[in-house]
Order: sequence, then structure tokens, then C-alpha cells
Amino acid sequence: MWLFRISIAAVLLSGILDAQVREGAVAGEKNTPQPSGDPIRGQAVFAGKGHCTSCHRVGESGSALGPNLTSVGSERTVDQLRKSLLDSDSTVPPAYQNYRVITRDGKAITGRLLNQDPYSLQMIDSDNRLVAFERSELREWGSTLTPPMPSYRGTLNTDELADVLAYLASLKGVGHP
Amino acid sequence: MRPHYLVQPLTAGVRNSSCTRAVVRTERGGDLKRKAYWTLVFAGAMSMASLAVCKAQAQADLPQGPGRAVVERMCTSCHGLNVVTAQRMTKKAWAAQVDDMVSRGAIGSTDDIRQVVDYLAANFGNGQSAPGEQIAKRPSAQESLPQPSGQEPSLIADAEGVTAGVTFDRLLKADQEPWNWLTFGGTYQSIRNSRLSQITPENAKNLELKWVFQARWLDPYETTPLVVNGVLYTMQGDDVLALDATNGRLFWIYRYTPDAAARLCCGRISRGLAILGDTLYMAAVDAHLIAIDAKTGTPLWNTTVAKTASGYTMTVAPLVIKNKVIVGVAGGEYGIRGFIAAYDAHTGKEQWRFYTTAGPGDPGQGTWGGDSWKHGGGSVWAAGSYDPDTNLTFWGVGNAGPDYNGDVRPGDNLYTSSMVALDADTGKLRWHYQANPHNEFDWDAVQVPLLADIKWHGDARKVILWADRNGFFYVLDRTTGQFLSGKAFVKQNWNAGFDEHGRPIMTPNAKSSTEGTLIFPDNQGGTNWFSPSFSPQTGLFYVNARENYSTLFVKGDQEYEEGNRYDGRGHRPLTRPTAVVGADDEKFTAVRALEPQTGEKKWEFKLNSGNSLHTFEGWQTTAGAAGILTTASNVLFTGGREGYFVALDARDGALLWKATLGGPMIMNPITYSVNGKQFVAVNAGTCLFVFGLR
Repeated sequence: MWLFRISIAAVLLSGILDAQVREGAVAGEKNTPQPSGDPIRGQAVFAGKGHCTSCHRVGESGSALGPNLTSVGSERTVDQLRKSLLDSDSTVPPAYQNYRVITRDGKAITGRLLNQDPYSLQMIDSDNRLVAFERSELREWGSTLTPPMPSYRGTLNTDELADVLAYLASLKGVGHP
Repeated sequence: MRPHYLVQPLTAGVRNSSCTRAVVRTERGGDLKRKAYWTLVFAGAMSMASLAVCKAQAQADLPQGPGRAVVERMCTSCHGLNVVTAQRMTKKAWAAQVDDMVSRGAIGSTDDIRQVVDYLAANFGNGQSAPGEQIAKRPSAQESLPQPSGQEPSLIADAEGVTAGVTFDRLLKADQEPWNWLTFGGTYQSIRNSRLSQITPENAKNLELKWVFQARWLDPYETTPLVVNGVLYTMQGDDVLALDATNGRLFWIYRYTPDAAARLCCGRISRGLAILGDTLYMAAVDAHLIAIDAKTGTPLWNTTVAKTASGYTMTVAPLVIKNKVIVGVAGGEYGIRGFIAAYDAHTGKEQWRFYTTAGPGDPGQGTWGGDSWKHGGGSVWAAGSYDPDTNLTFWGVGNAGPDYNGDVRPGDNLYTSSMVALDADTGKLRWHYQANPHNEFDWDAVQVPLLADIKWHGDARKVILWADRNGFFYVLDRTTGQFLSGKAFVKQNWNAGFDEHGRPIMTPNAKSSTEGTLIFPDNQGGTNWFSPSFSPQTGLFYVNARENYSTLFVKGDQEYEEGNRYDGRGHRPLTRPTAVVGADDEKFTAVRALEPQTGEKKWEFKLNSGNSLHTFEGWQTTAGAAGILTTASNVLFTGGREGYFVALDARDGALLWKATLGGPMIMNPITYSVNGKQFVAVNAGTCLFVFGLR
């Protein structure tokens, strides 16, 4: 009985905490422990072993296919960031799923769909170019099923994970020279 | 089942052909199956004789050559040939066009299609005229139309140049990629003359609306867009948007909320953007300079240029030179001290600053009595130009403050109401020309300076062509600043001539007074901030002129208080009886073509006249007009307050075409090309309208 009550309390507490996530994140995560890693080492992992820039962009560097992370430290808690790194299937928004078109002369372009209507669609391709098509130019178009973000469970060790989390948590957005 | 396509009848084809075709299109899921079926619909009077007439007309219009018969067979069964013969495109663009027709049901073998594309490219290629085709009824002023040195790249990049950002080198050679519009003035010279020539005086009547962007914005829509490789960048207020330049669909939007403390004398106005590499730059109305990733709309840095609460603002389109972003501040009606400043394009850190009111230690010090330079105004409302040969950048500077009472600021008040030439690397002043020393009429000298290399009385000369708010058209040597000429282009009563240095000789009454002084032109000027154009093809300078407008300038006392209006009281139009709509033709706005060497008016086209019931109220609509765009094919585009967007023959001002857009135009139209199709874009009211040939 007590175990049940504790479990219920835990669920309720996590729900309350989750509802407060947005406010807590912007307020400096008062109730969440700060990452213990080194953000400078984390930046190196981000750009190197993690290959994060193949999909993500920080400032002027990296790919525009995935969510822009320039201010992710102001938008996500550390726990949310950890979940994104270790359990990607449940956290990648549909808008960031891979998208592919094939032109009528057989050229395939992959990227991310930005906009569409019955006559046209607009994308950013894997080379970070804004491209647009009339549907009459295309043979095929659609989302691909492969989840774009890999899980880093087992790829990054504990220290590397802490470092990357510290780096991401430090990304607070636009600089003011 | 064969899929079908739903399209509107091809109107041009219908007018010229007795054939009509409707095709219906369906799509399932994400796959588009390329099947088509034809439905040929004939009117009751249709007969095989009509088809024979079609064919006879077709034969008469097409030049001889391999593939001609195939073109006739494939094309004329659905539409007339004028839609073909009116076009000039690259081979790649023709291939895309033919592919599109096949997708709509044109029937032909692979070899037929190849022959058609080869024929069209050979006879209607970019820059060509078909043998025997009548091009113009009037003789052309130039021997041949200048052609861009490069070729418009495919947007499905196979050329690395498409993926490369906008480098400084590309900005230097912006005229050589006329399919883009890379900077506010089109090129560093700001002459707003495009090398695109697909739209001609002969086919301009076939312009039609291609798409509209409806801005969520009710203040005057003064933004001049940029176009880079099929992406159009524009603004709505201080939001920045990237649109598909072929249909206006959104790639991304960056929303910016300026400081609520921003002092806005004239509305929340943004006149445009700049781009370098893959970064856009915006000068926001709260005097912040913001760098934005052009791929994603993500902000990269945000620099505070000046203090908002003190009345500083920015409306200017930034100017990028090398690795610097140059802007000017405004807010002269709030007692600012104006300046032009350069910021590092990557970091946003200030590199240099030039004050437009000369203080202690500045060149021009001593032209302000007491400390009046501290709140002397000198706004920079519009973008500057750049001469790479001399590395000088040229900017117009606004009026002195307080606007209408010069008693508190004795002296010439340098560098207000002036053109200044600054070293682009250091911001050091090289020369200046002051159009109105100690001005009390709110005459900003902020018309965009046009740089041209012309014959000046027989000698080659590098000049600035500049139509000022004070009603005078100036020609200056842009290397030295030497005054070459100043000619009135509207009615004026303040200037009795110039001395040997070009300093104006003021008429005795040309000063503000407590009882009111009547001055022509009015405080909004003989022209205003919207850009003029110079055409190397015609050799003419084009400006939207405001004729017969006058103001009674009244002087009042005013103490400076930070953040409050500081203009020395007012002005009002000459009092007259209530005007009857349409009864007063005395005042009007007109496109005027001026001969640079003499200032002589060669022709004029009235955009509006007298009083009218405006669609939008406010002085911006009565005082404003669109800027002017000219093309290598001698077409001039502009518009006015009632919402008429017009195409004129740049040689003689003949009206070629007009569209009624329902709102005032107070921005600068641009032209660009995507996949070989030329577009012309203009804001009217709260919308961006884009036109192209039928």
C-alpha cells in the first residue's frame, strides 16, 4: 500500500515537474542539477566523435537539417537533452524527419521539408541549400522512414556524455557583442 | 487509370488559337504517376478550317530551321506561338519548359522533344532575336543589349557557385548576375538598371500577376527585397522572411519584436536587408543590428547600435563592404547626434564611426554654435553606395535639428543636408558637399547617390547623380566631390544660384519664421527617399518628382529633452479652401527623365495629380511614390500613391502596361529571374506583388 502511494506520488511529482519544465528551463533550472561535464570538451565531442554537426547547427556552423541548437540551453532542461541523446526515437519532431524528392530526370534530393502546397514544395537540402520544386517537376516525393537521429547510448562514455550535455546547456542563443 | 491534370486554359493560346485543352490532375499519396490524358474541347464554330488557319499563322511566325515542323506540330495544337516567340531563355530553361508542356499533355517522342528544345534554344535563346522577327517599332538607342557574363544557374545545383554564399566579389559584380538582386540598390553603384531583357516594350503588355505575398503589416511597406538564387528575402516590419521567388511560399520566418521604447517619427519602417556569405543583416527600428542565418532564419548576433530611449532608430538597408556591415542611425526629430558606423560582419563589433554632426576635434567643427551639435540630428535614412576603384562609400545625411528653428544652431551645421564620401575601411571623411547649409526646411539629403561613368562635356568623368529633396538635381565628381552642376527639377523659390564652389545662394526669404514662410518645394521635397535610376542604355536619369508642393514653415521655440520630439515646431501646407476631389491638378507626382549634362527634362509621365481619396491615409502616401527600376531592354517600372504600377518605355515615357494594385507604392521595385523567367516585384499597400510574362 505504501509502495503504491509512493509510486502514485512519484508519478504526480514527475508530472508537476514536467509541467514546470518550460519555466524552470528558462529560469536557470533551479530544481535540476547542472551538468558536471566540461563544455569545451563537449564542443569538441559535438563536432567530432558525435558527428552532431552533420544534422545540427550552432551559430553559423553545422547542418540545417535538424533542429537548430544555438539556444537549446535556454529551451530544454538537461534531462530533456539527455533523453534526446539516449532515446532519439521518441524526441525527434515530425518536422525534422528526412524528406526525399526525385525529379523526373531521376535526380534524388534529400533534406527537410519546410513548406508545401498542392502545386509546390520548399525544402532545405542536405547541402544546406534552400530549394523549391513545382510538383510537376517531380516523379516522387515523401518522408523517409529512417529516424534521423541516432542514439548515443554506448557510443559516448559517461564523461563524454556529461561534457556534451554541459556544452548544450551552455548554448543560450544570440550573442550581444 | 491515366492521371489527369487540372489547369486553367492557356489564355494567350486561346486568344490566338481556336484550340482549347483542359487537363485534369490527380495525385495519390506521395507518388505522382506520370500519366496524362487529353481532352480537346472545341467551340461550336470550331472546324478543321480553323485548325488550318492556326497552322497558317504558325508557319508565318516561326523562323526556318531544323525542328520547325516538330514545334508546329507539338505546340500549336494547344496554344498560339506568341507565347513561344515572346520568350528568350537558355537551353536548360527551354528544356524545363518543354518538359512542363509534356507533363500537361503535349505529345511527342524523345527525339521530337530533343528537336523542339534545340530549335527553341537556337532561335529564342537568351539574348537573341529570331530572324525576321520585328523587335521594335522605334529605333534602338544602343547597338546591342548588354549581356550578363555568366549564366543563370540551375537551382538544383550542379554548379558550385549556387551553393557558395554571396561573396564580396559577387557583390562587386552584381550586375553580371542580373537574375539575382544582391544588394539594396541592385549593385554598389545603385543605378537600379538591370541587364535582364526578357520583358521588352513590345511584350510588356503581356505581364500578368504571378504571386502575392500578404504581409501582416499595416505601417508603410518600404522594404526592397533581395533575391539570391531563387530565394526572395523580404521583411514585414522587423520580421524577416525567406520566400520561394517563383510563388511566394515561405521557407522560414524570423520574428523580431523591437524595443517598445523605440521613437518612430514616421512609422515602423524597414527599407531592406543586406547579405554576405550566408548571413543576412537587418537594421531594426530599435537601433539594433541583427545578423540572421539566411538558410534557417536563426539569429546569429545582435548588436546595440544606439540607445533607443534617446530617440535613436534605424530604417536603413545595411550596406556590406568587404567584411563590414555599414549602417546609419536616424531619429533626427528626437534630438539625436547622427552617425554612420561599420560593424564586423562575423562578430558584430563596431569597427568605425563617423558622426554626421561635427563636434570638437572633428573636421567641420565650429559649424555648430555652442553645444548644438550634440542634438543636431543628421539622420541617415537610406542606404549608401560604394565605388571599389576609390574604396569610397557615399551617404546622404539628413537635416539638422531642431528641424524648423535654426536659431539654436547657428552656423552651416556640417554635415547635415549633405553628401559625404567616407573611406570604407576607416570611415574617414574624404569629401563632402552640403546641399543646404543651416537648413530649416526638413530637407534630408538622403536620396540614394547613383554612381555613373559618363561623358561630361566631352570628357569621361566618374560622377554622382543625385536628385535632392530640395528640388535640385546635382552632378558631382565622385572622386573629389567637385560640384559640376545643380539644376532645379521642380518649382523652387529658395535658391538664387550657386557660387563657384557650388554653395547655394539663398533667396532673401529662404528661412523659417514665426509668421510662416512659404517655400517651394514643401518639407517632403521635390523628391524623397525612394530611389531614382540611371540607364546606360538611354543615358538618362529618372526620378519621381513632386511638383508644385509648398509648405508654410513656422518657427517655434523648443527645449531639448531626451527621448522627446525636438523639431523646433512646425510647418503646415499652405492654407486653402477644402479641395474638391479631382478638381486640383496643380500638385502632382511624375516620373521625369533628365539629361545629366544639362538637367533638361526629356520627358515626363504623371503618376498622380491633385487631391484624391487615398486608399491609405497618411503623409507617406501623399508624399511618396515608388522608386524607379529600368532594364537593359528599355522598360521602366514605377508606381504611385493610388496603386498604379506602370511599365513605361524608358526612351520616351510611353505607357506600356499598368496594373491596379489598390495601395500606395513607396518602395523600390526590383527584377530577377528564376529558371529563365523574369519577374518584377513591387510592394503596394500591405502586399508584395510579383509579375511576369504570360
